[in-house]
Amino acid sequence: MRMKKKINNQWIVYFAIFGIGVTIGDCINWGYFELDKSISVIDALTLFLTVGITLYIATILDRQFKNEQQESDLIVEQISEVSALLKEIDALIRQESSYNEVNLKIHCIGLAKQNLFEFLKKSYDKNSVDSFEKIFKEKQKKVKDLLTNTPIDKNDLSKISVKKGVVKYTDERIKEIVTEIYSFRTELFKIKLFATTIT
Amino acid sequence: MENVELKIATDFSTTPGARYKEEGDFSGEEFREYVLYPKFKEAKTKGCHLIINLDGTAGLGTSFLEESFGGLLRTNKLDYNEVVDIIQFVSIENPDYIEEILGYLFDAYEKENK
Repeated sequence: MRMKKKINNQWIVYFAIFGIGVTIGDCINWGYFELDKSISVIDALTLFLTVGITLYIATILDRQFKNEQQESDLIVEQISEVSALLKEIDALIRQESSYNEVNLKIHCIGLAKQNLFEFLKKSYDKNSVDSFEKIFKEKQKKVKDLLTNTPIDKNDLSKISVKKGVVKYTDERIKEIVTEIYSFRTELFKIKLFATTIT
Repeated sequence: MENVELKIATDFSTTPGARYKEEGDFSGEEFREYVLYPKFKEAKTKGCHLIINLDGTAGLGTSFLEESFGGLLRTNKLDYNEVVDIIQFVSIENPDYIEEILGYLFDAYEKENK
């Protein structure tokens, strides 16, 4: 959709430049200027069209460009928020932390995800966005499970344990979480690139 | 017939915990035992749905959700088809929770039927 709009805008710009060129060409007399009190219908229409198109470019297209820029900024903001939350999780897991606090970070990633893909779906190709959303959900689920899934078997304290609301991860689990977080952030970078590339 | 409603944030806690009671407050085990299972039985008796609202909490961890809902099959020995038929979910903040819970229910069903 964006590419189609940009192609239409380019043609309008070309047309406007051509119209301005014709008007200026008509006015320039290589000798000296002669002001004619009469003006042909074609000349009048050309002038009117050129001025109209110029105004259109200046106002409407400029507004459109600013709107698209704003959307892109919002998307980048959401991605940055998710990235920041992952960084905070990385810090939390290296010490004994409140299970609720870890839970809250993951929950906030879920909320940011809703906003992010709401914006993306408005302006970008549906198939690409759906593909990114699927990967995002997979990464998010994987990190969440590593962080908050305590074992069904109460005797299994191999990787994660929670006592009185305090969660502790083994070194092995920490490595798994860090690896997944890194992979998640790589995907975020790809989404950012997709959202900010000019087509 | 009016459905039975349950909102985790107001009927249980805004800060659900982990899996078992010994892991801390507001565990999935506690939720299932004292809130979810009784409400499920009520809905079943009345012949209506149990509508569970997932919004308003500070997060629903994997073990909380798995123990709460997977535990209905594993511990309370409920029938999978009956559970998915009676329970319906509402989640405006984060609809992904619904898919997650249905996944835990199905996994628990598969494990019980192995």
